[in-house]
Amino acid sequence: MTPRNNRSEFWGYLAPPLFWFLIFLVVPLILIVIYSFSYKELYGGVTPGFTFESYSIIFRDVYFTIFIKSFLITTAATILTILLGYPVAYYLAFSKSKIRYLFLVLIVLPLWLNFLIKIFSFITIFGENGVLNQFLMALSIIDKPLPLLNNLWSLITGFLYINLPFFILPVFASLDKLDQRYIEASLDLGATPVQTFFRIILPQSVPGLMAGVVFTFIPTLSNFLVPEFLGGVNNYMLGNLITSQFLQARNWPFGSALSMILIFMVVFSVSLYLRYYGNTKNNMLSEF
Amino acid sequence: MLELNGITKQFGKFTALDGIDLAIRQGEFFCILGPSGCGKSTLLRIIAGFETPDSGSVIFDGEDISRTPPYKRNLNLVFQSYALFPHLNVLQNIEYGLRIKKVSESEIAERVNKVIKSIGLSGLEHRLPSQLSGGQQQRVALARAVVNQPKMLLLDEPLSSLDKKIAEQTLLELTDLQKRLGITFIYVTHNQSEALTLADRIALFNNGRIEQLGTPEEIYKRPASHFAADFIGKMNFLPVSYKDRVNGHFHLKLFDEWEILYSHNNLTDQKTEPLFCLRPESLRISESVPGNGYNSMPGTLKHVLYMGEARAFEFEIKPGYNVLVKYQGDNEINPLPGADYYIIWEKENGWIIDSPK
Repeated sequence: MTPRNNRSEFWGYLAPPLFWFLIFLVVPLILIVIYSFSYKELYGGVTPGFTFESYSIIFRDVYFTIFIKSFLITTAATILTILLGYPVAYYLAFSKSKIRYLFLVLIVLPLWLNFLIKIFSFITIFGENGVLNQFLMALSIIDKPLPLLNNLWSLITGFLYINLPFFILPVFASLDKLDQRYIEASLDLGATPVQTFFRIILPQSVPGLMAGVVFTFIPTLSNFLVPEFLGGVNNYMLGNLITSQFLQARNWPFGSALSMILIFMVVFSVSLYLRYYGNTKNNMLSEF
Repeated sequence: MLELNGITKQFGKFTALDGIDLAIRQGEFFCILGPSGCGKSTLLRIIAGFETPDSGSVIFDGEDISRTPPYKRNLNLVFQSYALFPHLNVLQNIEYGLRIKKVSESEIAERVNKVIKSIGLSGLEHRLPSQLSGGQQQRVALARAVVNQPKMLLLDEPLSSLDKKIAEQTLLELTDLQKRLGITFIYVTHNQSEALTLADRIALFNNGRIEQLGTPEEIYKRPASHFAADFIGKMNFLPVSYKDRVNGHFHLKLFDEWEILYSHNNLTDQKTEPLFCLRPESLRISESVPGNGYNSMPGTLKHVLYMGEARAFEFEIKPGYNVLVKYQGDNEINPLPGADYYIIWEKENGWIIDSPK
């Protein structure tokens, strides 16, 4: 086969996905860039032009607070995800029990469910007249329903529920392929199991852990359904702000500017990940 | 120094170790030799503390350590795959044990430097294991263990993943290192020539039992069983029957046909099914019946095998019974294939075993 032939075949195979990317990724992105520098019209349209007005709005107190708050909530949810998810992944990777595969299936199972259905099932359980409150009241443990929804806790628990599988799986993958002999070598050299965990196991699972953080931090930061349904009125997040600019306030330039900021944050954190773990053998993103 | 008493270990229905008794001496280079699946690695893992025996005890320096976790044992293991920590460089790998034990910085530096020099790793300190050749990784694994100054070093097939040239060179360095450090070495291998070269004593393992325990020479020259005779080196086996005893010599008959003399006294307990063993290199080819002190049997030369440093001649004695004769170097004789000769040997060279395998 001549190189020329080879090349035309290459582009031939690549054309459909490239076309798809162009229509659904590149064009919308360019539109958002253009919108974010445009003037907003009084009744929701966009007047082409070049202004930083939309970007400067972000620094107004109201919006900047939402930015900071989103960031803090996302960070808290991510830290809790790590604290809850890592031990589970550790158990799955090192347990000799046969049930561990059942647990693995149970962890993957929610991924097959629609996002909204998951949220509504959450409401069914924790709502004012939800299963849990009814149950506790029937047992006379409480006499009026606990406020389990529409607060910061329900918001973060909701994120945990959504995020955990995405965190557990890459961490599990990196721990599962860790050679048992590294652990044995460490014990042999006098390290206790705890020392072995911090010096050998944890450092070698960092690529998986960082992949898990990337998989959970970014979707959480931009999520608008969970705060909408579980967060109540006080926990308005960046995702909600962007949605409302496009759908209710009809300030498309401002919504676009916010999206641009979010996109930059995502690109920045992924490039950090790739910079440190991108060319190692343990790079988790390359496996998914 | 290390005593194993009645060690057994079962994995499901598989018996890995079936009553092992061993006493290993201070400063000894001890080899555990055997085919794969014979239990030798399991025994090493029990000594290191990664497995606990189902019954029996491990006594190390007068102390029962059968249930002591590995990190509390004053011995180190060199893994077959080396198990170098991939996220640490050569220096950090070697220091690992000392840092864990909170040895002072100045002592760490001193001990690590000494080991790096004596094992020949200078200049590689800041490489990662993935940037080292197999031989270099093997040295780092050795250095990482030796730097802790253990009382005993366990080595699990340390040469099996090196290519032949480097393995041979490392073999010599290992004996040298062991003599210099004076540490007791327990070396596990399936490679009989490594064991013969290195060991002060060898324990030959088969099916979870010790088949024979002795010096390399004892095991090579006086195998205790059919398995031992077959596993180490090349061996010719011939059917033999007992006739009588005159002046301290046994009179035996090969194939119920050729009378031979036998001078070892391991015949006193009558063997049930004796087999006569002859090493190919102890045999010579002759055109005539030899004189006193020699045994002989006739045979037809079938094949001549050229092996570089040696030549081997395959004779047919009886249909189905071939005997190999080996000559070192390019010397003396040029027997013709198809012709009949006498195969002769000094009467001290034969050895009788009991055949049930």
